[in-house]
Amino acid sequence: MIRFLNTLIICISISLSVVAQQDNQTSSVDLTGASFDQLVKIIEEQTPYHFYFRPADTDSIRVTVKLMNTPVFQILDHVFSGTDLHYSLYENQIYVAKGRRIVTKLPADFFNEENKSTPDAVTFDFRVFERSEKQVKTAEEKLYVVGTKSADLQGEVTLSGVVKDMRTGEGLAGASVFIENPTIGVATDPFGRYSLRLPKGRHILKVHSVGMKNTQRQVMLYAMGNLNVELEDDITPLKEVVVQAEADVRVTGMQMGMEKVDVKTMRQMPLALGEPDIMKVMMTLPGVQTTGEGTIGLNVRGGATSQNLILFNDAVVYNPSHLFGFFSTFNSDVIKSAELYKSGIGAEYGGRLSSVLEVHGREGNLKKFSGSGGISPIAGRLTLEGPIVKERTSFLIGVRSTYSDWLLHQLQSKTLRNSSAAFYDLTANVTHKINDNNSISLTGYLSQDEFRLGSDTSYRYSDRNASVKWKHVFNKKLYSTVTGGQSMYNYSVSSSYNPVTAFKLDFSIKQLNAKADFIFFPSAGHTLTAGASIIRYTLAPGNFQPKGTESLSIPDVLQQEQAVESAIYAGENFEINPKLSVYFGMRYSFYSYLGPRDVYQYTTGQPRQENTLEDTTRYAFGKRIANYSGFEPRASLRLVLSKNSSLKMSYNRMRQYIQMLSNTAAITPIDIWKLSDSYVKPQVGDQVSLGYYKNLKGNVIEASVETYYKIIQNTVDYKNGAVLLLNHHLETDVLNGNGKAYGIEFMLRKPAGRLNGWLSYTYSRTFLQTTGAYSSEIINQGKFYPASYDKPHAINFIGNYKFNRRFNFSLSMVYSTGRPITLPIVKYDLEGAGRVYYSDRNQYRIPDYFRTDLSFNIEGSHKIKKLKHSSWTIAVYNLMGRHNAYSVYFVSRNGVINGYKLSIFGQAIPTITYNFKF
Amino acid sequence: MLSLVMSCVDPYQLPFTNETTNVLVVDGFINTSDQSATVKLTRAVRLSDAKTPSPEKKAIVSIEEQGGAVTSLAETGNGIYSRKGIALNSSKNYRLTITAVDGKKYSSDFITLLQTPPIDGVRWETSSDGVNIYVNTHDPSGTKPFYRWNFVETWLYNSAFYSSIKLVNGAVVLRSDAENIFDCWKTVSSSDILISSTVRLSESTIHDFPITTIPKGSQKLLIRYSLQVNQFSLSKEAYDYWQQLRKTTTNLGGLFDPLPSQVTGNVHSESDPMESVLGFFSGGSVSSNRIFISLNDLPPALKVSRNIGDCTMDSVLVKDVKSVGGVAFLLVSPYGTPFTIGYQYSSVGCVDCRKQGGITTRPDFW
Repeated sequence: MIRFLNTLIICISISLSVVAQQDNQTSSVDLTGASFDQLVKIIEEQTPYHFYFRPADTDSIRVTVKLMNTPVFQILDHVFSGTDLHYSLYENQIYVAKGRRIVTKLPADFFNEENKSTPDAVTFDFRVFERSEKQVKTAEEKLYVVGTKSADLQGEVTLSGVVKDMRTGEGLAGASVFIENPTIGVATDPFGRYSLRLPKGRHILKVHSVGMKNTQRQVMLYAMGNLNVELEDDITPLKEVVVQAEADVRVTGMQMGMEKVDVKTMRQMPLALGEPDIMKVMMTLPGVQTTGEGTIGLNVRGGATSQNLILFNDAVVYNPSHLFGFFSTFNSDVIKSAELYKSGIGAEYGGRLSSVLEVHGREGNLKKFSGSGGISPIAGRLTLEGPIVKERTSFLIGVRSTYSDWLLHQLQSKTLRNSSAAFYDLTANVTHKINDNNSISLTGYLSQDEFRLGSDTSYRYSDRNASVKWKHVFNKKLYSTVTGGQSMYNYSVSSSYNPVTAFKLDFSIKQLNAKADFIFFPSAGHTLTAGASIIRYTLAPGNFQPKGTESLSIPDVLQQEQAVESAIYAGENFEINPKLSVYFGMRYSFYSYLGPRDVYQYTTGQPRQENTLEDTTRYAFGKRIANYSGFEPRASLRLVLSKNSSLKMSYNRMRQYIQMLSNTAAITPIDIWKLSDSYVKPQVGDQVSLGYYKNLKGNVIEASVETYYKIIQNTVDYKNGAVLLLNHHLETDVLNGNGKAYGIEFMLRKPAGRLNGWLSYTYSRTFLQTTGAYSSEIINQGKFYPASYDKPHAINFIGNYKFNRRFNFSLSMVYSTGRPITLPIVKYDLEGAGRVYYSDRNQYRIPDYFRTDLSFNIEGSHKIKKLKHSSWTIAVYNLMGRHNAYSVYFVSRNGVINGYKLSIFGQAIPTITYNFKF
Repeated sequence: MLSLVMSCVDPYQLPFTNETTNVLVVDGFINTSDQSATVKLTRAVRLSDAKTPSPEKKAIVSIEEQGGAVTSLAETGNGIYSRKGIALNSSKNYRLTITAVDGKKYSSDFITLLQTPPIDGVRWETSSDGVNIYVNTHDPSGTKPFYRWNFVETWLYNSAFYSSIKLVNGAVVLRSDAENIFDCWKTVSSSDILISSTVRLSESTIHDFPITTIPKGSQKLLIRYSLQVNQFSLSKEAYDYWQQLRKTTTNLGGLFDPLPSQVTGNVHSESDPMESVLGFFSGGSVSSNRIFISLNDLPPALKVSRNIGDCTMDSVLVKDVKSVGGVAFLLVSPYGTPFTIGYQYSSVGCVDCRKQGGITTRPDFW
């Protein structure tokens, strides 16, 4: 039906004999609670009319009507009253559309008389015409003529331009620009630019971008030229565009194993503690798991939490969690979108094994000053943005802070009253457009957490990042981005409870990085990327100092670590024909672990232990202690099987030179990062992945299956009972091992319509194995054992239902197999008390996890010109109040061994948040 | 530890496991203070089993001086093997060898015998919640940074009613002082693992290490309480062992707590290196210190008077006295003046203090 609709638009452009349909047929209908389909059937039987509509628009309508011999229009007026649906008649065809009427007459100036005398030059910037919403519609229906009219319609020409956000003027990266017949498309680059080789002639150029309204342009191509397109924000208070694309990016795009989440999706999710959270949304996607509640660490396709490259505006974020992990450190108001790459990772990324999570911050509004924010019982946030120089320079600043400290203090328990927890984060961005070919952007990011449990030990940690990015356009075919930045992560633990043992322990990691990326479009179908990067790491793995004058603590400072990691890469995306595209990329990374440092040597042929420590070698400043390097090939392939299905394959190898050492289940603020050295080798991961994508029911439903197999070399493992903090010879406690992971991910998604959401099922396994030569260096007799985040079955359901423009309801359900644990198997007495002895590592599982959340969004009025838009979110986390086990543990108290199950959220948690935007 | 935010803790029933659990447990100590050695051998049992660990009997257990004499220990019953009066040489290393009844041989690593510094003092202080007890020590030589403590608590308590008479063969006779069942002493050993280290301190000083806390109103504080602290210097290996054992039994399951793991000590099977052997063998001298806390030492807020709970007395006429001759009741005192009309009696638990776990023998140190 939708196809019909598109042909229609073309049809009317040819036929000029548009005659208004006067005759109004009558019909008799007597229905109670029937579906719209039933109504259509009755009318179609009784009249010559034929209906065209999208089932997704009408599936929520219930028809109760009793009208005899009534004109059909009157019946439809009755049925559609109070809904957002409109109809229009063209000959005997009735078009039902959501949001606005289908226009059955040609718009004024259809043939674009003014532009007739355009010289063959090339650049048309139609932005001026598109300012108002009314003009958006005209823009979609108007015919843009590119080049001088001529009879020669043979051959191909290049159409290029920029896709921008209409509200802010910011270029939109990753938007798809495509035509459907033949299927030719491209994604915009990081500046929002696109360049397409198209046959001369008439096309409907479609532009889609996540979080933005889809749009299209009627183009008549005579010669190469420019067409800039502005997209509207897809925020609820504004109207939605009805025309839906046939082929979707998920099927036709080159990328596989990638999930893109925009702020809108994020806001609809029901959430704990009432804060929209990009990381929590990621956790509901197939192939992404987490060890338990209250943790931000993602386990992507069997990877450890430290194997994800988390980038915020190109700066690495080491600890993305606030408040023990109940919040992520990304303020939803300053984020544009986030992409998670699970496979098919391009050669431009490197340094972590499992995934890349790229979080894009927004740039400030170039046109007007605005702000947004929200208040919930736990935290508050405020973001301000606006132009510094209109259309050229903008700023954006967002802050978020908690007052949960205050909350804790209200509680009755004495321990809780003495506890405190607080966090804040601050994001600032300044973007300056030097000219059409150069823009520069500065981002600063600061997040800090502090907590104290009881009155004893207090913890503090912070991420501090700064990055500068220069985008430069050499010409239409060559773009570059140069990025420089610094990421710092540090934490400190201090205790002053007992003045004699009072101490402060500091840890810090600093990385300075620079990289240059180039994108080149040599000719149709080819996209080349190349670049180089360098990172210098400086790590202070532990500095223990006395605190206060009475303290007898001896200062203990671990030696600093330093290393340099560099890489060069090149990749080529080649669209061989509209059905087949391939991508080949190669990255070569090299790493040096540098002095000054004293390196311990151990007796060869003996397990590495303190008592086999033999000698110390001193390396001078800048001297290379260990070198590692290697190729990291990346490849992917996409084969379009039919108009709405495709097959994709990918292979990638990744290397990781910095490891996180943690023998706790969750990411904790006091986890240690360790640079690869002569003992701790870099991790290498290989993944092959295969996916099948199909759109069903006229693209209303997207279905996909992806499967993967992954092998990891040199995983980091620990001896039983390893001590990781302030350890001068970590190599005696750390083991190198191997890992393997495989899985299959099924996903059904209905991206639009009154009812939308997704359902996914994942089966995945992850196993680790230690390869030591001595019994003290072997876990579970050297056999493969499940990783502590191995959860075979996972089912996620997210559903949103829009009652009307102002009320939105959403429900999410999450199920997964319990994670593996090590259980005590035998009991014995020692020193008069009962003790337990544990099974082999990770041989048992905690009970399965199941949680239901729901939320209501209530929007304020929808006057677009209103000074302030506001909304309320009422959410309930863990609706059933289910006691989902986070862990199981055993305590010997007075000689009796008791087992306990710890749940983080033991009851339903309701929250209410007020959001505003001005 | 994080549990406090919003969490809750429920009891957890262990799933049934059918792993083989025939693991030998060795708890051995050479005491240079009294030139003795004691080794307790048991077999671990499956956690889901109701039975307690069984003693390992008829094993051959010896102490071997490195490059020197082998002293076999005598089985004294209940899986305990010991000998006194061994000529121990503090400068020598010792190990333990065991031949179990199934013929399997086990031996420990060689250990050094450590001289434990004396306890500087056991201090107690009160708070509104109870009494906190701390230990203080220091090592002038600065060579022994690792410590372990255990303690034995003894306290005097009373039954609800003082019984002055008893029924013998249907006749009421007076109780002698030796038959007093009103005053009892209860002795309990510590079960928590108490260890500390001065490695990160510039002086080898332990300042106010918390030993235990007695909550307000506890039976321990009703009359008089005594606590003996035993202090042991540990080797690095022994300290690591106890620390791991403590981690796997006391702080697990929280958000930031380490994953549990198998903790094995310094005793190994000679035939199968993969066989798990539990427990630890160590040696050295022991330093002890005893304190007393009487009710009168406590501030008024902690002086809680004795509560007899549900105990009540009933009376019986002289002629019916035989009816309370069973095991459930005991006579308390006669009533009626000048002539005895009958006797007051109460249930055994309210009269005989031994029913609450104590003994009536006054300890030597009391």
